[in-house]
Amino acid sequence: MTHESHRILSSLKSLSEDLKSLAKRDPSLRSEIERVEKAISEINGQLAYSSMFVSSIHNNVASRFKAKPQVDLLIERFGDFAKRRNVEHIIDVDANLLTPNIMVHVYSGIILNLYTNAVKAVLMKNNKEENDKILIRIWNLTQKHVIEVSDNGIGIPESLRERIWDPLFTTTSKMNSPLGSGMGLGLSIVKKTVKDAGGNIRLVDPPPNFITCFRVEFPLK
Amino acid sequence: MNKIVFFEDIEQFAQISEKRINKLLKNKGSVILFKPEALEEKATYLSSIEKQFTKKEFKDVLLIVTDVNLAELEFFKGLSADVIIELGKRLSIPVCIYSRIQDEELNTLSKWIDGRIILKNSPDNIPIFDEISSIYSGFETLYRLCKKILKGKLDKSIPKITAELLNKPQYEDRFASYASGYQAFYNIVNSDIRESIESPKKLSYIIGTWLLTSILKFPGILVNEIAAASYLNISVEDFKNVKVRNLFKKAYYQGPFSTLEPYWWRDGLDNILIDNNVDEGVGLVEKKIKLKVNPCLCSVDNTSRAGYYCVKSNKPVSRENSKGEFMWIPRGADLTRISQTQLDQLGPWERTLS
Repeated sequence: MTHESHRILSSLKSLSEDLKSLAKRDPSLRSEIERVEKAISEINGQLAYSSMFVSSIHNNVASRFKAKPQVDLLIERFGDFAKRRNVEHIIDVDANLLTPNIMVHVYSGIILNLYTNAVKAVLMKNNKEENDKILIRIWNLTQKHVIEVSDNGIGIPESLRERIWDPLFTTTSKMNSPLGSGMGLGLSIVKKTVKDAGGNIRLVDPPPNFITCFRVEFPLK
Repeated sequence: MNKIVFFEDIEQFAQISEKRINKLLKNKGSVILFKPEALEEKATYLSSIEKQFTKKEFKDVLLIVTDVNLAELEFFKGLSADVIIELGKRLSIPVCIYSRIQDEELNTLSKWIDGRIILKNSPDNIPIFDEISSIYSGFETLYRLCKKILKGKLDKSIPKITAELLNKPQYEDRFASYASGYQAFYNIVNSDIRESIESPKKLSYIIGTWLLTSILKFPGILVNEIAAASYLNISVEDFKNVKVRNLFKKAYYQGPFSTLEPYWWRDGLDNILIDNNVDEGVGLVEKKIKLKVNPCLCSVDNTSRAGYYCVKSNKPVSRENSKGEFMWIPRGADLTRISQTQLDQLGPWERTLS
């Protein structure tokens, strides 16, 4: 992956350099340069996360850590795309809340998957009467650590609520999503990962003003 | 003429890099692009490259620069920088590593602790060529100085030699305090020099790599721009002002690698404050040039006075919002810490920070 990514990034960087040269004659290109530079920075951040993720898999050590900084890290690295499209992000997590004993890439990967699904869901919505928003709430009960990712996107029809967990089932293949079509593997992998880590995931009733809510629960002991 | 060997598996980048570095080095050195030869039967990647390095053209190599990923190098599919680092250790040639993408793994502090010189820039950024040229010049200067030292009887410790080379013989103990803790050069710096050092190349390799990866990387005796601003309590932005900076000119570090980025002797900064009878940099600036500058605030809460330097984020940090008790931070690097934000976000991912 790295060499391919190097080449893509390199082409983008060389495009940016070319634009900078052209902008000396045509200042109207400056906004384009800014766009390309932003894209480079986003891809860089996401690749950095990927390399961190891969390294962490090799470490394979479970620990307890603060949940909010991990959510902040994900939004820092992956949130710009949605923020540029005016998707409101609401993070409701106590700054000192601790996770259960879990491998950080497992914890982070689960939230990232649910978050990107939520971004797709809000951006696919045609009816834009209400602002697009995503809510991430995390809290601890006596015996449980609870993560909820909610959105006010297109929603999941009642008839499909069981099938979404099936491998290769996707609702995005025929939609013109700016994030592209999913393969339908994300949720089935998330479900398996959550189960392997001793937890469970399910669709629950969303909080007021949201359409979809995924809840993940891990035992605290 | 001394040389830099460049390892890069993408021809286009290799050629651009060769031209640019040669232009910067002028007549101070030259660049050789590593052209792999077919592997002999049963030869390992390392033995094969090491054999190639015995050829005449590789005689005066003073520095190696390598891409972290050399997977597409002809005859050496899947080669990584680790092999080149081992080669550097065997031949006493310092190795600088870069990555074309922001590589979180490469940027982990563990790489520095292992004594690896990680370049700040990637080859797509022009400043990388200045960076390489500065590092090369630093090693070249050290090599010349070490040649002189090795003419006489060598019965001094590495910290003592380093202190003398940098014209600060009184700082021997301070340098020795960097030869502590869990860092790659702990054993080498503390070893009996008469047994281990036989060539100026090896001595300059040890001192140069120690300087770059420990003493200059982890502020204590010497401080970089951010650490200096934080220590003096002048905002990082105000400290960029030439008039402000000139007040501390006397404390400038001018030894090897000083063209890489500005560094100051921490004691020199103290002396300037003492001589002017002020406690902090803000006071000195006001007293000497009648300029009101902002204090340096902690990057975590933006309210408390910083004073210290987060080596992970490269930002000023306060003692309260950071941690400095890690076995890999040398005892002498008492201004080096890790901010709480970095610990919370990256601690679970990076073992060094946990």
